[in-house]
Amino acid sequence: MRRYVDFWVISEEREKAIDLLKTLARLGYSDAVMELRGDLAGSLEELRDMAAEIGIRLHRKLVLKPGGRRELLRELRSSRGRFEVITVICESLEVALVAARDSRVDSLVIPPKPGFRIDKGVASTIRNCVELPFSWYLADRQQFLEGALKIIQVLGKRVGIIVSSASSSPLLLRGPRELASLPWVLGYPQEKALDTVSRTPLQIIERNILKLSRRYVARGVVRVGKENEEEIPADIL
Amino acid sequence: MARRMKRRYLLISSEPAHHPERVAETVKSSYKSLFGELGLASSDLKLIKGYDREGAVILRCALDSLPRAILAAATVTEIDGAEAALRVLAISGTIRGIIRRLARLRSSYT
Repeated sequence: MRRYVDFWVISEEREKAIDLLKTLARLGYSDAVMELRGDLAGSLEELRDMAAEIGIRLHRKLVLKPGGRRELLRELRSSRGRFEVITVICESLEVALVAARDSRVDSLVIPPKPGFRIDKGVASTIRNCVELPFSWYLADRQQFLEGALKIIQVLGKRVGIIVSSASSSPLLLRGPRELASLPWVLGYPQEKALDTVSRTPLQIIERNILKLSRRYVARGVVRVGKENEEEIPADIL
Repeated sequence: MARRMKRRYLLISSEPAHHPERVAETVKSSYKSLFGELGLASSDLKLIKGYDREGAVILRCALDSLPRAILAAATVTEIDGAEAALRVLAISGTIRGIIRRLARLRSSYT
């Protein structure tokens, strides 16, 4: 059975965070990646325990919106090892090209009017996944669809696409099937569309959890041998 | 011999609960704004049954338009000017199947 992930949920207050987690569980998600803002930033472990009681595995996300290459690299350096998922909102080609190749970045968000062309040149350099935030679609459908169509057509064959809610309100959260309907309508086959809310984000999470663990040595190298340790699937290495 | 048109039935609930006819109209209007009048006409989108208490509806659509119907429902953010969300709870190829799913959902809530 598929496990579903909402790759971007935003929360600033504890009560709202619990509401969001309950809604996510009801919608059928098993994992949530939350951007913790304000006072909530320091209470990850407490939230994680509450999420586990609700039936959700909670992961922490950092969203960066750098103005240039230097700023991006500085922010990545300062937050290394503290977040399970790092996403970069790319408002310029310079940022997009650096973020696309950096192994510390997990996903890129390309805004509806990015100020640069998404073409084969960009596609050939991108190694990280591209994320489509559904709340951006709800805010401005036409512009978002123009961009998303290009992303699916040009980048969709080379890189993984992830669809997330990117919302801080329970009423703006959508179920996995509803999120997957966006790439499905834009040309993905049904199974591949469902991967955008299950397999692709799950692989990133599993890989990053492994990277943050003590067992990780370097890319492709992990310490093995203890009896009680879980097996590591080859595709996340 | 002409083949029978394949259809899918969707169980959609509104949050907070709204009148089933309003829910169906909202989905149709969202579908029309996304895919146009021709799209709506070819989708075969129709209200089959409504449940006042839950604010839920069973909608029918052509199999080809299933992802579009789901996206149209997911696009709805307000009904009658009030903030709302539509949730696709189940999809089935038969009415019997979708009613069975509804019964299962009802029993899990109580």
